[in-house]
Amino acid sequence: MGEHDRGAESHVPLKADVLQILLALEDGERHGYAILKEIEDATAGAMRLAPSPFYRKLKRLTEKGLVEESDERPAPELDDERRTYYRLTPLGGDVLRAEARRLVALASDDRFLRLADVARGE
Amino acid sequence: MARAQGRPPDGLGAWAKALCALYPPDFKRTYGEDLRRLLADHAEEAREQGALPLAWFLVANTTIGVRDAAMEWAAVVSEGWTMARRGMMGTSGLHAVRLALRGLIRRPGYTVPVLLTLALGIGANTATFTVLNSVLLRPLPYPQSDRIVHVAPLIEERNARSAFSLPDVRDWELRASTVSALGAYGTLNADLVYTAGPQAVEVETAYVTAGFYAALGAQPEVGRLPTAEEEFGDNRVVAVSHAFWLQSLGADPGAVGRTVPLSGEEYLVVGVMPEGFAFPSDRVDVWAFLSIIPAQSTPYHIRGVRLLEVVARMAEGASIEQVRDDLSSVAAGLAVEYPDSNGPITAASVTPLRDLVVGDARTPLLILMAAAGLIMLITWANLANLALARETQRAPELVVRAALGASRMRRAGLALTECLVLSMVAGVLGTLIALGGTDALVASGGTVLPRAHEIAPDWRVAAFTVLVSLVTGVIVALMASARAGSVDIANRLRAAGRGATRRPARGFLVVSQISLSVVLLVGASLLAKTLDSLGEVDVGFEPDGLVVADMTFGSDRFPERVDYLPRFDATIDALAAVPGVRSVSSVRRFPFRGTGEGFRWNHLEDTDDVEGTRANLLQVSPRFFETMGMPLIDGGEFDPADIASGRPVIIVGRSIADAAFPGERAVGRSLRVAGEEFEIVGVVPDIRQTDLRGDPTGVVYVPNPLSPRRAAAFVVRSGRGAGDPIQAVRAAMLRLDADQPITELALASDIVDEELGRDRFLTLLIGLFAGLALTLSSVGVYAVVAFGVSRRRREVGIRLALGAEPANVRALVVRQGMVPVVVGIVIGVALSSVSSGALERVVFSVEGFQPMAYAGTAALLGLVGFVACWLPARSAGSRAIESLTQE
Repeated sequence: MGEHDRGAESHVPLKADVLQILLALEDGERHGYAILKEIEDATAGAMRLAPSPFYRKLKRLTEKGLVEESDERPAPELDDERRTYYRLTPLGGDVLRAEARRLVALASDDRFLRLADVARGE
Repeated sequence: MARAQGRPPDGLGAWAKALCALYPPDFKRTYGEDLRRLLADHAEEAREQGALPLAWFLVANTTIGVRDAAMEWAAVVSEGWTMARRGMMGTSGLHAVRLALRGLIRRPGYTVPVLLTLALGIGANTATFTVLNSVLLRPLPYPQSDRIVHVAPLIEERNARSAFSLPDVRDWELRASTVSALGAYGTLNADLVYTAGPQAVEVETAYVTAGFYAALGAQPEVGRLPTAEEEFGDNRVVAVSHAFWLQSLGADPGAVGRTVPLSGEEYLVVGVMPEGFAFPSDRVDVWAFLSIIPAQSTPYHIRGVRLLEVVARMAEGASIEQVRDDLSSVAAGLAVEYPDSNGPITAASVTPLRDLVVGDARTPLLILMAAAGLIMLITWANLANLALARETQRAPELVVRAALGASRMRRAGLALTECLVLSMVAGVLGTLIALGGTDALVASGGTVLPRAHEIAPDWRVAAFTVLVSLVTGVIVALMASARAGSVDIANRLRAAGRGATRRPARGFLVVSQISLSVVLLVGASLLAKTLDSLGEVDVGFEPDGLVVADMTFGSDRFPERVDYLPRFDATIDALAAVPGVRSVSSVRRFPFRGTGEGFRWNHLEDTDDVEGTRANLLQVSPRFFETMGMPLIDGGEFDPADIASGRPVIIVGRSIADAAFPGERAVGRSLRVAGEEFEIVGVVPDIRQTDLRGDPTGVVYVPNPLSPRRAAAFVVRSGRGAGDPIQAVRAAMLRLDADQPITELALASDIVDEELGRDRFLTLLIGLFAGLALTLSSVGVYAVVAFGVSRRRREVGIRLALGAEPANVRALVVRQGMVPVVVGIVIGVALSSVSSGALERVVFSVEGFQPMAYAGTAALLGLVGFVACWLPARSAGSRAIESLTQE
C-alpha cells in the first residue's frame, strides 16, 4: 500500500465536481457527454457542468494521472466511435477510494450526525 | 482524426466550432472535437427548451468558453517560459544555447529571413516610436510643464484668436486670479546684431516681460534670470542661449556679469539658459526685455497694437476650464472699459503649451506610427509563415529525435531556446537599426518636426522595444512550442504530410499580410502622387541658379531713409561685381518668406464705399523680373528714369490684370492701390508667394524707392560654373561692410524644396514602409505556397504518375496559391479607401479617388504574389516524382 497510498492521499480532499467526474467513471469508461449526464442524474440535477470547464477539468485530471483515454471500446453496437472514452487510472481509483474513506470518516463523527439530525428538524 | 459526420452544420454548430477554435492547438487536438460536439448537443437541448433558455445558454457558455480558452493559452505560455527557463538555466543551458546556435547557423535559409524580418520590424517601430515619444509624449523641458498654457485674446464673433498689446498684458497679469504667472513674448522682427565677432551677426532675439520666465519656470544654467525690477528703467540686461554662450562667448562662465555689444549698445549678460530651453523657438539666442525697444520704432505700448503672445502658469489647483473662465471675464471687463481697442475681444483662448509646440506634427506622426504598426503585424504574420515552412523541413529530424526518446519537454525546450536566441539577436539588431533610423528620421524631418533637438531614446523607448520584442518572442515561442513539442510520431513515421488536411489559418495569414501591404502601398502611392504634383507646381519664377540674401539695414546704423536707400544700391553693385553673376535685384520678401504688405486695390472709377480686392504689395529693385526669371507677359520692367522721377508706376501679376481689366490690355491703365493712383507698366506671371497649395497670390510690385523698407531679400542670379555662389555672395558682403549681418543666405531652390519638406518626409517613410511590407509579404506568400507544395508532393506525384500534365499541375498549384492573394488584395483595397480618407485630411491634392493608385497596387501585389506562387510551383512536378521514387 504505502507509496501508492500516500500518492492518493495527496490528492484529497477533492472538489465536488472532480469527485463527481471520478464517481461517474467508477463503474466503467464513458465519453464526455455520458459523464455529464451521469453527474446530472446522480446529483438529481443539482450539479450541471458547462462543457468547456468540464474539458479543462478533464485535461487537468489526465495530466495528474487520475484519468486516461481509453483504448478499448465497448461492444460495437454500444459504441459511438466518434467520441473519446475516458476511464479511471489505478491511481484515480485509489484517489476515489481515499476520498470515500475520508468522507465516511467525517460523516461517522457524532457531531456531524447530530447536526444532520438537527438540520432535518428531527 | 474523426470524420465529419452527424447533423448538418447550422448556426449552433458554427458557434460551437468557433468557440473551440479559440483554444491552443494542443488542447484542440485532444479535446476539441468532443468539446465541439458536446457544446453543439447541449445547445441543441437548450434550443428545444425555447428561445430564452437558448439565449442564456449561448451567452453563458460563450463567456465561459472564452475565459477558459484564455486560461489555457496562459497555461501554454507559462509552460513555455518554464521550459525555456529550464532549457536556458539548467545544467544543460549553455549546451542548449550552443545547440540552438549551431542549428540556426546551419540553416541560414531559415535564420537569415527570420532575423531580418524581426530586426526590420522592431527597428522600424522603435525608430518611429522614438520620434513620436520625444515629440508628442514627453513633457516639455520645463518644471511642471503640464501647468503651462498659451493664452490668446479671443474675438468671439469671428471665433478668431488675436494677440496682445503690452497694456493688455499688464491688465491681464493684474486681474487674473487663476494663474500664478503670466508673461508676454514676441520677436517683433527686431533682431539684435552682435558686433564683437569678425563679422556682425544677427542674433534671433525674443522680447519678453518678467512674467515670461516665471510662467515657464525657467532656471538658468549659469548666472541668474533678469529680474522684474530690471524690467523698467534703463537696464539693458539679457539672458542668452546655451548655443550663443558656446559659440560667441567661448563657453566662458566669466562672460556672465560682463557686457556684450548688441546693435551698438552694451548689454549686461546676467544668465545662460540651459540647452533644452528653446522657447519661443530653438533659434532664439537672446532674451531681452520688451522695455528696451524704443517706443517710436514699435508702438507695442498702444493698447490696440497687438504684437505679443502670452504664456501663463496655472495656479496650484486651478483647472484649464477655470483659467479659461477667469481670463475670459478679464477680457470681457476690458472690452467694456476700452470699447475702441478691445470691443470685440470678449473671451480668452487657453491651450496647453505642448499642443501649441507640437502643432500640426501630430497627425503625420500618428500616421507614421500606424504604418509602423502595420509593418509589425505583417512581420508577425510572416514569422508564422516561416515557422510553418520550417516545420516541414525539420519534421524528419524531430521525428527521429522523438523516436530516439527525446521527451516532449526537451524537444519543445530546444525550439524555444532557438526562438529566444533568435529574438535576442533580432532585438539587438533592431535597436541598432532604430538608432540609425532615428537619426535618418530626424535628418529628413528636421525642418518639419518640432522639438527635433529633443529627439532621443529614453526609458519609454526602451520599455517599448522590450515590449515589442517580448510580444514577438511570445508569439514565436507559442508557435514553436505548439508545433515542435507535439510531433505526432506515429503519424509522421507513417508518412509526413500524407493526406494533407486543409489549414485555413495559413490562408488567413496570407490574406492579412497582403491586405495590410495594399493599405501601405496605396498610401505610399497617394503620397508620392501628391509630392509629384507639388514638385510640378509652377512657382512662377526660376529658382535654379538663384541665391537669396536676406538683410536688414538696422536703425542703429541707418537711422533714416536717406541713410539706408543708398546702401541698397551699393549692395546691389557689390553683388553685381561678383564674377559669374548675371543680374542682381532685391525684393521686400522672397517667396515663402513672408507675404509682403496686404492691401486692397480698386478701379479708378470706384467710389470710396467699394471695398477693394485683396492683394500683396512687394517693393522691388530694378531688374527684379529678369533676375527672378519671370518673363514679362506685357509691358516692360521699371524704367530707371521713372524710378528717379518718382512716377507712380506698378507692375502687376497676371491674375490682377485679368481681374481688373478682363479681356483688355492692362498696360497703360491705372489702378487705385491703397488709396493712390498707379499706372500699370507691365504684367508678369503669378508667383507662389506663401504656399504651394491653393491658388497663386495676386501681387502688385512697386519700385523700392517709392515705398521703401529697410529690410529686403537680395536676389542674385549666377551663370553656370561660377563656383559656389553662396560663398561668393558672403565674401562680397564681407568686403562691402563687415558690420552688416545677413539674416539668411540660401539657394532659392532650397527654399522652394523646404516647402515640400513635410510631404517628402511622410512620402519617403511611408514609401519605405510600403517597400518593406511588399518584401515581407512576398516572402510570406512564397513560404506558404512552398509549404503547400512540399506537403502535397506525394499527391502531385501520383497525379503525374496517373498521367496528369505537369503544366496542369503547376497551374493548379498557382491557382490555389493565388486565392488568398486575391482575397487579400480585395480586402486591402476596401481598407485603403478608409485609410486614404485620413491621409487626404493631412496632405494636399490627394483629390478623391485615385484609380491608378489602387489599380497599380493591386497589379503589383498580384504580380509579386504570382511570382511567389510560380517559383515553388515550378519545382512541384520534378520533386514529386523524386519523392515517389524514394518511397
